[in-house]
Amino acid sequence: MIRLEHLHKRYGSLQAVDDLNLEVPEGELFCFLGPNGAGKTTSIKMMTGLVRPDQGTITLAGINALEEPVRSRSQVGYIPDMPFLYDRLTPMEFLLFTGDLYRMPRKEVPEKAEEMLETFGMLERAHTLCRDLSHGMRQRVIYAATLMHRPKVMLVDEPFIGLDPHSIRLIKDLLREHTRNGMTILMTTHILAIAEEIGDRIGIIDRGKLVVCGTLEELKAATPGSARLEDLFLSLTLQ
Amino acid sequence: MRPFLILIRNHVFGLRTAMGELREQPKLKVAFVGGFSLCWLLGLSWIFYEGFAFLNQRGGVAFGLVPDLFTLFFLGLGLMLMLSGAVTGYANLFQTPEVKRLLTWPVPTRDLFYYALVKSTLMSSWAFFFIIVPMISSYGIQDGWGPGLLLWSAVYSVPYVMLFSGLGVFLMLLIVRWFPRGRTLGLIGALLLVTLITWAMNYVKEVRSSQSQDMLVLINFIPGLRLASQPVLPNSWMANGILAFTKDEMGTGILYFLLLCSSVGVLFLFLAKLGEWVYPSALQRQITGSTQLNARASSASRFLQYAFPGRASVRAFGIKDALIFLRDPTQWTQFLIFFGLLGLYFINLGSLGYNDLGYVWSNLIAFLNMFSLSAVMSSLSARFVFPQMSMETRALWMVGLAPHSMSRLMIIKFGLATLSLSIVGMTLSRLSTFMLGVSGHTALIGSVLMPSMAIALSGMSIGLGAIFMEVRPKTPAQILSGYGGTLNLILSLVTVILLVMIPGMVSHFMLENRFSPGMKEWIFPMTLLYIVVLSLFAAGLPLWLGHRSLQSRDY
Repeated sequence: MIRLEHLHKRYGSLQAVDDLNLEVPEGELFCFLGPNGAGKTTSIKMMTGLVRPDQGTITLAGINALEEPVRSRSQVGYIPDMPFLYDRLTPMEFLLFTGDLYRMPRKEVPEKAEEMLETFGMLERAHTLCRDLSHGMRQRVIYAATLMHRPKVMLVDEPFIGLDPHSIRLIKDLLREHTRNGMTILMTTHILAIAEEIGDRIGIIDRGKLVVCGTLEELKAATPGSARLEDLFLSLTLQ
Repeated sequence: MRPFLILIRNHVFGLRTAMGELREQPKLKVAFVGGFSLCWLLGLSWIFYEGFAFLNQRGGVAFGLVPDLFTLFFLGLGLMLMLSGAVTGYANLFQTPEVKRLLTWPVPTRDLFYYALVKSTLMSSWAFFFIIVPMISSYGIQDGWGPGLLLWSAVYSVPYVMLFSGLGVFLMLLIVRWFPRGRTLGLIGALLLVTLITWAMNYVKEVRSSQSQDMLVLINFIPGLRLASQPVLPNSWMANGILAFTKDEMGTGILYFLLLCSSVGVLFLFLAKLGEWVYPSALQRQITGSTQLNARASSASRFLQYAFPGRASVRAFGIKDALIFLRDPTQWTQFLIFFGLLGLYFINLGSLGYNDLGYVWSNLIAFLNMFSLSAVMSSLSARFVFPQMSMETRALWMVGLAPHSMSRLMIIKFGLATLSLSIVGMTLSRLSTFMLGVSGHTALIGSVLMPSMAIALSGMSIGLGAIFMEVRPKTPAQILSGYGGTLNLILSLVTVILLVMIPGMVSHFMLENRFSPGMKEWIFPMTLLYIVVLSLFAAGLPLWLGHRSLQSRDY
């Protein structure tokens, strides 16, 4: 699970995250929405340890991420909006690299890598250099690499940018399946229809503050006159 | 206006902007680059001047060798220009983002080809300023000629640079369009390598068997002198044309110049036609070429996965960095050229008779060789090791989230760089000391100095790379051109000088018996201690500061 308590982050005069409190229980897919610059990516980066909060605590899979960052990171998978792949490695080599990086048992890594590539329909391209893969294929490699070490918490930043309908479907099914198996997922997206479709709960952040949080029905009930998530989102963030 | 002319005009605008941006560069960097270039020109001029003075003192036959040395010099320069033309031509025609963008614009492929050809020729012309100027100026001063000789040579250099750069583009185009790939390429490469090694071994044998002190047989000692002196080769026209000025044979000089110009004209006409015909299909071959690695091609990958030792995270970065290095020709060709040239020179130390000079001179040459080796190691560590920490930040989504700290990544990178540089440095240093037959003391200093140098240079580059880490995506060239990159280059050079000069002086004075017997007993171990302590300090301090910087920063 994910627990954020009184999280603050300031960049110069800009309060990027302001007293953020959030709890996402185990096996839930939480959609984190907000306009550009609202503080979504900063919040995720604080959870990953790439950015240090000014104040507050972060608990991931029961581990205090600020006190035990290395142990916490071994339980977390992160997919940024524009992930980088080493162009001169093949998907198979990248997955083997990931396996070693996460200290997976040496004998288990090649087998697991092949299994992940098969799951994502990339076995035929296992030995093609990453620089020659399409955006969708690269995204599949990234998911395969992130899931290699079986993280308990997954943080996904804008997972559907530039993907074809097949890849979108594949990733939606995958996220659902993993939450059913107990993985906790926090996902940011600008595609509100997808948030409506797959999110167990939805949180909207604006100017660093969590404005509203709950199931879609709870949000609609709390905001009279908003029949759709889009109306709700616009009414809460258009000031 | 033709698209070709528009592209050239645009390029000139770009150059003008780049010149304007020079004013915004860090002063330290500008001063360092300017000072280094000046030192290079003056240093090389001095070496050439001393060389010509030596030949002048010998007079007669020795000075009569000058035309042969000129032809050899221009042959070497021509071959370098050809290689440079091929590499820059490949980049300009097939690799730059500019070409990819222009291909989507209404620019005829023919114009694109001409444009890339002109750019490649311009980019190859550096040789004139940094190599020909010191050589010709020194010869001119030594032989009593004024700046007219330099001007005359400058005029000659224009068609010469165009000719060899054009030849480079021509060869590159043929290779890109028709050269077989995959297994056949490997087979041809292996055959070429075997042929080259066999030829080199036979050549060394032949030269050793014909060794003599007579200056007349110098022609046998210097590789390629006979080939270079062939009158049908352009380097011979260039050398004879320039020397015609010093003999007041202007008519001959102009004849050679026109010969060069007409050759360039024919070559460029031919290239223009060939480009129109071959470039589009070569481009298609490049764009659509498959990079699916077959089982044989990925054997290096499988071997590394199987054999690379160490803990998981060390293996991960070791294998990844080795594969990227092997698959990036810009990286391994630079290593191959620099260390390969040094290796060839060290192998031939015996042929040059340096091993017969006695311990004092052999010792001096050994330390000069260690300095050259260290200078190459320093420039390569500044070029390839310094940007590594910044380059890894692109993959922070994976590398930064792995269950280890960024400081551990820094230590792994330091270890891998040290290991690579140590292996190359120790092998070449041992080769040099073995071929020179130096004393045991000098060989031992070399054996301690090279790994210490690798530790110092790697530690400095990785540590400063961590302190001046660029989190925003930048190319290695952009990372290097910043303040951190310049500082690293300066400090690396200072370290090289301090690490080689002091032990070199101590070793020299020992062989000249300048120390008392009591002093000799402790000065040698103290020298070794000096090397170890200085290298550990040079590596340790930046690494410690880098560790602190990594712990306190946001990514």
